Amino acid sequence: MATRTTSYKDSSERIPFYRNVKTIGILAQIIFAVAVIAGAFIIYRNVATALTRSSLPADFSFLDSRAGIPIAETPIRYNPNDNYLKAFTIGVLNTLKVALVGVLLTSLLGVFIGVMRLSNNWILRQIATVYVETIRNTPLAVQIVFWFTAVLTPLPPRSLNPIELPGGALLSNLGLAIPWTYPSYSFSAWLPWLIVALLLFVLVFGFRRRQILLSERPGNPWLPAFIVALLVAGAGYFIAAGGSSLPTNIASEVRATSGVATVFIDANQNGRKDNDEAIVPFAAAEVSLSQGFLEAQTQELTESRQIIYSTFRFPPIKEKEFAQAQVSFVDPEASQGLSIYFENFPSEGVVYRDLNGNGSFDRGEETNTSGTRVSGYSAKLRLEVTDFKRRIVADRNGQIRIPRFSAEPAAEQESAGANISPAQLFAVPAPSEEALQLEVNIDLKESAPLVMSYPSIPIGPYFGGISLSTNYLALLLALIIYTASFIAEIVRAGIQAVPKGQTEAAKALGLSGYQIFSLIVFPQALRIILPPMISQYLNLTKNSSLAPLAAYAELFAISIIIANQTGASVPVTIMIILAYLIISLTFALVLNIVNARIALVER
Amino acid sequence: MVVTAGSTRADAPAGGDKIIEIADLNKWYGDFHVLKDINASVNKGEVVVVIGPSGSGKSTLIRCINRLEEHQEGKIVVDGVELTDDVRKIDQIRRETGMVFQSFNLFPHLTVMENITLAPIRVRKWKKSKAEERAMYFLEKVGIPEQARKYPGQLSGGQQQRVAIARALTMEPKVMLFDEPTSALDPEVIGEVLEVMVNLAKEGMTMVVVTHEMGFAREVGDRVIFMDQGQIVEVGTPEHFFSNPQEERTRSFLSKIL
Amino acid sequence: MAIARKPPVNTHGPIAWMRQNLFSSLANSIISLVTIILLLWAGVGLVRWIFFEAVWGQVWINLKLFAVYRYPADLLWRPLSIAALIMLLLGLTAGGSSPSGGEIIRGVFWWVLSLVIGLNLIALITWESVRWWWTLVSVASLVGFVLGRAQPRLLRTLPWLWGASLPIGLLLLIGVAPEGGLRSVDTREWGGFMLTLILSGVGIGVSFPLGIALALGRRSQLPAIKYFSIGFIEIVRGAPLITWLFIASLMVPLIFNISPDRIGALQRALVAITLFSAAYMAENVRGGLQAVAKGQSEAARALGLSGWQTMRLIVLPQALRAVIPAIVGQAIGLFKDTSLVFIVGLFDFFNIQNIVANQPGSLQVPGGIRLELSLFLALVYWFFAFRMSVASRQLEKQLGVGIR
Repeated sequence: MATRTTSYKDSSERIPFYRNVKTIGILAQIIFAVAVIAGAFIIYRNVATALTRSSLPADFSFLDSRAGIPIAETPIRYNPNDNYLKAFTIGVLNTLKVALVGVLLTSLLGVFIGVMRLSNNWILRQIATVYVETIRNTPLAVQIVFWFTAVLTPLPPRSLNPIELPGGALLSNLGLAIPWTYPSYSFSAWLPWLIVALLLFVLVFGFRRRQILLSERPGNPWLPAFIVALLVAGAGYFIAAGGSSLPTNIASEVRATSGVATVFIDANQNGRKDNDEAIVPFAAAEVSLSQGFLEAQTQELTESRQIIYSTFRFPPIKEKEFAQAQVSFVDPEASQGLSIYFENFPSEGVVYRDLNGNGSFDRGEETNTSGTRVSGYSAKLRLEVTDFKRRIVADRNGQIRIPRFSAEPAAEQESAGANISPAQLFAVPAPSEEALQLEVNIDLKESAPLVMSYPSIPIGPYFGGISLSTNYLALLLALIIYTASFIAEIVRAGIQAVPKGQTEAAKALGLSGYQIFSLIVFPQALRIILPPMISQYLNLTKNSSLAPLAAYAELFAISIIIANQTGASVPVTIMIILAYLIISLTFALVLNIVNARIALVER
Repeated sequence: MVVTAGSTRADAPAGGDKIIEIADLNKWYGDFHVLKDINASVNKGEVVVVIGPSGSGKSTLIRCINRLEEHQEGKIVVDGVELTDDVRKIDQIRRETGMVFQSFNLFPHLTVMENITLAPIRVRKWKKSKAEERAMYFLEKVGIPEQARKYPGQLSGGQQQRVAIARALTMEPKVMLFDEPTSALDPEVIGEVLEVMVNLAKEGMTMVVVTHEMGFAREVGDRVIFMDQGQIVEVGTPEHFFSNPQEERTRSFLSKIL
Repeated sequence: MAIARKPPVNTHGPIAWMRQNLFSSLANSIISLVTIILLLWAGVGLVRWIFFEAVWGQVWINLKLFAVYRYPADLLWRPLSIAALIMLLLGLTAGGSSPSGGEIIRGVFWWVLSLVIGLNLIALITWESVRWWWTLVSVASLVGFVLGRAQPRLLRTLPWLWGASLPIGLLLLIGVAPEGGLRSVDTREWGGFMLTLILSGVGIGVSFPLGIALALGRRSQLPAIKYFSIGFIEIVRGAPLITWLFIASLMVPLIFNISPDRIGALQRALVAITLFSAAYMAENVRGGLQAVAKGQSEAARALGLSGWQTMRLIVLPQALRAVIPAIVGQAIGLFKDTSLVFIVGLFDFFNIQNIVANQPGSLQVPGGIRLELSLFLALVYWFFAFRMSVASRQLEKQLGVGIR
């Protein structure tokens, strides 16, 4: 064999550039870069000419102008006079609001379903499988529309007739209102206790951990620390509650026209809220009314598909709270032949047609047997109220909304009450001159550092507790249920991926069932589960951009409105992409940190 | 020799202090009869080697002893405690028996030291320092004290299996069960594991070993049990067993592997 | 030798099965009983609603709208003959695939065929104008299957036939003549399930080569190409599809500097869907490329194959084979996600429900028919997505076995 030692470097032969591996690479890159730059330039030129021609905003200066977008749900204060930037910020916050709650709840549901798929109970396993296979093979958009248009919107209408859930929550087509605690004025007295409790938690935790380390036995440092902190915080709560008294000069002012009272610190003691006087949020008050009139109207109702005339519930007002009440049909023409049977006068009633003519309500008479839809049978309630008393907690703006009482009764409709059974007919007296001024007495109550605010059913919008709109609920429910079907699979796969030998070895060492799960299976499964779980969290967040389907104003929905109002296509595009890129990068960062922390050391 | 339904009795030599007693043991996987009328016992300090073709039920047998498998009929008594559905008895027996698996089954998320001290601290309620001290003692015994702070993934197969042995020993069991401890190892590291086992046997540990290592059986085995199709076919001392097997099935098995 | 006995406890029969799976402990028994009662209650309620309370008439009379939106009624033979073509090809593929390897595709074929035959029967009874065209679809499916069985050789031409079916189908839908049966139909008239299929088909079909190119670009050693690919892939994947659809509808007219009326919503949506799908496709393909052992390309280079040949003949075939399940998964995802084109004002299958729900006939139904619509949509999407995901899992299993 001839041994030639000619090497590439020694070769005097020149390689033509189109055959040289290195120059080919550089050339290819240059050509590619030129093409990309040329493409970008053409796009830039086209966009620029298009923008100048149509004189649409091309920079971000429009963000400072008045938005005029009405947004129903705002985590922070907002009014339509605020600028576009503020509107966009609200959108971002609303995205976070749905994403954070969604991530939390979907994890719970997903883990639950995932564990169910591993249950030794056949039925539970099948239910979990059907759940996963149905939900993840149906578009999320269909599910959002299902929850929004088919489930939540047809809920009993208006605030008059909500479904009362256990625990004092109210569900209606306006959404879900749940009881909520708020910090009252005496919260500041409790705050030092909270800080002390937190410090004690850290101290006790550190002490216990040291003790455990010294005793060299496994132990739980969290529990004693938690108990001590809880005790201190609890004791402080009662001491703060006992020692606190209403702030000096606290006063309230009622605006009879709007039915809104404001709680404030009356610095100059003139009994009026002046502009420089501070409001007091979340103050508890007993609202009492010696005399007032109230009018409410039910919506026309049809319950499920059996055509029922109407069942209605007016706000629960106790019998001793009103002097006179009258319920009548709004449109006597249309409701010819219909009567009202009161299950609980005047709050709950059923509209019926006296089919057998016995003058009283019998089961079945509430059903519309004619098959055609009737309308105009909605009923109107008129109340004259005496000694009305309610405990109401002011909102974050220090406002207490008093049910829409008026000082004088509304003008009576002709032939009203024609179809009411005579026993339940009350005549409304003519308005007296003195009654024109609504007399509301607001008695501010001392309260503990936290006040519980319950949703009540005054007439008008929800008040009290915290309200979640149907838009938010529809999006949240769909996202939770959809994402959980993926998380369930991740959890199942993660637990199944821990080899059987691990459990067997732990058993052979004599570890108990709980110890095997908490010390051996769970830590290993978690390593497998966490990374894909985090990308599901990202998916949930990105999927919240389907919000326009439920008319929920998150960042994408607001961006659409901004783009349509201002025509600022390019800036809005950049804003959308940047917002989601930041979200994605944040998740990627979290994922990297998690991955680095949980990586198993291998050879 | 008493023949019960065709299965040979593998009783420990009389006069010894019996630590494991198995009587009329039957086990099924679904409809498949894996263990048929097993009668056997092991004396304190004895080394019993169980051999047989794969699927003969030998692994299942020793997994029944610490209840990794549940038996349907018969009686298993370990150190005077009868194995029943009672959780406390199961735990008691598992505390007193150490087990070494074919695939090591070390916990990959814990260091070698944590692997070894986990059960002593959580089950035996030892202090950490005592557990670590004992762990080091056994790690030295199996020859890898320097690996204590590493993770299982950083060790070779032979080292991992030695850690697994140390892990079982640190619980100070009265009986050690070995389920094919060398089958998953590369040939060049089998020796280091066997050496540890031989030393252990020489120190008087009671051992039940399922293995294909006939050399080990010959060197330290007190008795050899041959199983086939869920039955004990033949029992004997290694000399008797390897030089003069009685049963045809034993002979054909030995001819295949020796 | 002991004879194997039966186990002392019966492990057979429904009673033993129930004992093991439903009543193994007290807690389990309670759970089982409670869930059985709840399921019965829910089942009875559902059945009663579906058969007695729900109003399906509005869905029934709007089926044409759901299928093709405003595509002219006298030209329905065009989408139907494309359906026939696709079923012919599917039948050919199913029939021609090897007895063992073709199980999966045959499963999908029978599943779809059952729907086609069901619709064909309905067409024969009530849809007079299209009854023979539906029959053509059924017949084409069966002919394809039989032909594939008889001539498995045809399988080799199938990739080309499939590839050609996309432009042929689109051309037939658009139309070529100014008048008559082949007159052109504005894409604004397209919609319904037909549009859903077009969007997913074009999306996956076009994004496949684009995705491969991007994946190769991302692995390229040339920094300019590499970082361009990375930038494109990561930015596109960073934001959700619905935002890209919206952005495309805003930006496409600007980028080409033409008036928004001159480029239809369909074209803009296709741009967004294809580019979006390509970025995800690139990541799938990259996963496959990484799965191919390094030794493979080294062996190929050592044999004297050029870099391009190595990629085309050795690495890509293995990589693509490995990512088939992932691509099927992506196709399912895209099929479901086409529902987002409502944002650019297209009336795909999903968005038709908003037309139907607001028809006078629907509004007259007490409470509206949103529940019926949601269920109908969910069922149709599920019918396809579920069967595809079953196929994807089977593929994964089959390929997994094949690799080992």
